[in-house]
Amino acid sequence: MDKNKQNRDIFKIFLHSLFIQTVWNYKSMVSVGFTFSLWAKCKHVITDKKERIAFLKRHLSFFNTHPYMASYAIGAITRLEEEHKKTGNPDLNSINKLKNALIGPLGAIGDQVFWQSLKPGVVLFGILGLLLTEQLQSRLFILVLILFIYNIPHFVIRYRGVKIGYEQGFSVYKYVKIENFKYIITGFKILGAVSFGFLLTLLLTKTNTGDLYDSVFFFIIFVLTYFLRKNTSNIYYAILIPLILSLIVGFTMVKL
Amino acid sequence: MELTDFFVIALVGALLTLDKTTLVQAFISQPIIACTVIGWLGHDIGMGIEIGMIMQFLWITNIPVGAAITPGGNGAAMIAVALAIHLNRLFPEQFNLILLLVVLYAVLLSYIGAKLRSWHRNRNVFILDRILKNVDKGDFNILGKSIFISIALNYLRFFVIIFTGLILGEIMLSNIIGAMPSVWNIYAKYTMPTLWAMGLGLGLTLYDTKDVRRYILIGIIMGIIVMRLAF
Repeated sequence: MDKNKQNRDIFKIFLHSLFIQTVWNYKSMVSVGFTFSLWAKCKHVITDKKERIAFLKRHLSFFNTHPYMASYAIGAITRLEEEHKKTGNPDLNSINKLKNALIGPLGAIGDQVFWQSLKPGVVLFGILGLLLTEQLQSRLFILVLILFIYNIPHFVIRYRGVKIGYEQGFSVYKYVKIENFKYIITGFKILGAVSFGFLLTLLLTKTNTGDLYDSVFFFIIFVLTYFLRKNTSNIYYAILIPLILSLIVGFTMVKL
Repeated sequence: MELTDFFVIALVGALLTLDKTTLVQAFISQPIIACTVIGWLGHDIGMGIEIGMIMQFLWITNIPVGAAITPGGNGAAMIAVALAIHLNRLFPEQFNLILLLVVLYAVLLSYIGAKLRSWHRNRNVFILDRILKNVDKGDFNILGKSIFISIALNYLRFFVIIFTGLILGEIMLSNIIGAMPSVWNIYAKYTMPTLWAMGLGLGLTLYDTKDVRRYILIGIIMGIIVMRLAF
């Protein structure tokens, strides 16, 4: 196939994949967005009405994984559906099996890479940067910077996912390994941890009023929130209890 | 702020909220960015950044794993910052109390937002069923149409939530603050340090593993050096 045309197709699929969660529902999860992405290319390949109906119903049934990492599955399934239409191989059962087999690993990798490493790392780095300067222009620069730091790996992985998936077909599973993303996980975990340590010092200094009670109170809230969040799955307790406590302490300090 | 300001904030806020799950997810719906935009619209970008940082810190452990419903913190943070700017103009001497109340209000809204998202995901099943029915009839454009309709409905939903949240918040909080004696602002003096300490406590839950502890220590040392140089 003409390389330029293939790249154009991959880009088109990538753009469609940005809508993967638009019709998120409890019955088929993200299957509508997933099928919408496949359809960007497959509608030109599958022209028979009955085959089109069968294709759409097959993919609309169920799909759920990490929204960014889904691009690997989208690329691979597009390729395999195309090959199936042209040669009859691979059979539909194998395509379906691959699709289902990718759900778990893509979800697990995506959660680790993006939700547990990239996002908190960027957030903590951003907050640190914003606290280190008071100048508005510098602060706006930091906000633009964190948008870039977050979105460069985000968009690169999403685009590469479609491209690798489309080029590799069945062999995409070789690329869907946590080892291939270790450098991002490690890099952003380090960024987040260093920023966190720095923030700890910075906030202890900034909120220090010179009053020992204030510093002790700050430390108690820090530890209390940590244990509340660690031991309960309900985030609201970890937010509401310290806030109510702060009001009680404020009230008591004034009365004393 | 006038009603028209709230209207514009709701229009822009709904657009930013689409980024949370409906479209792309390019980080612009995150409080740290979205609140800055709302602050700019409310002519107090500094306040937008300050409250955006705090709200972002509070939701740092929100990880939308699988089908989990996390608190609707992004829209709530935008409402909180718009109300904080508005109330701070009305009651400039009551900032601690304003901060406490807008954060509590944002927490309440985030809870409601999570419930509404669950309802919305159930409602999307109807869209799926409609797509399947139309596909059976041979309407293959239904996918694109449904995506478009879903974006429009989501936008409308976010607009209504943000606008209603702003109006109700303005009525409730301005009356509460107006009715409270000014000493309540002193009672609430620990709100800001509490929010920062909470953010750190929440953040630590993400980094309390052996493999990253030494990097936290490096960060602490870097912080001490910078603080020493700065002061």
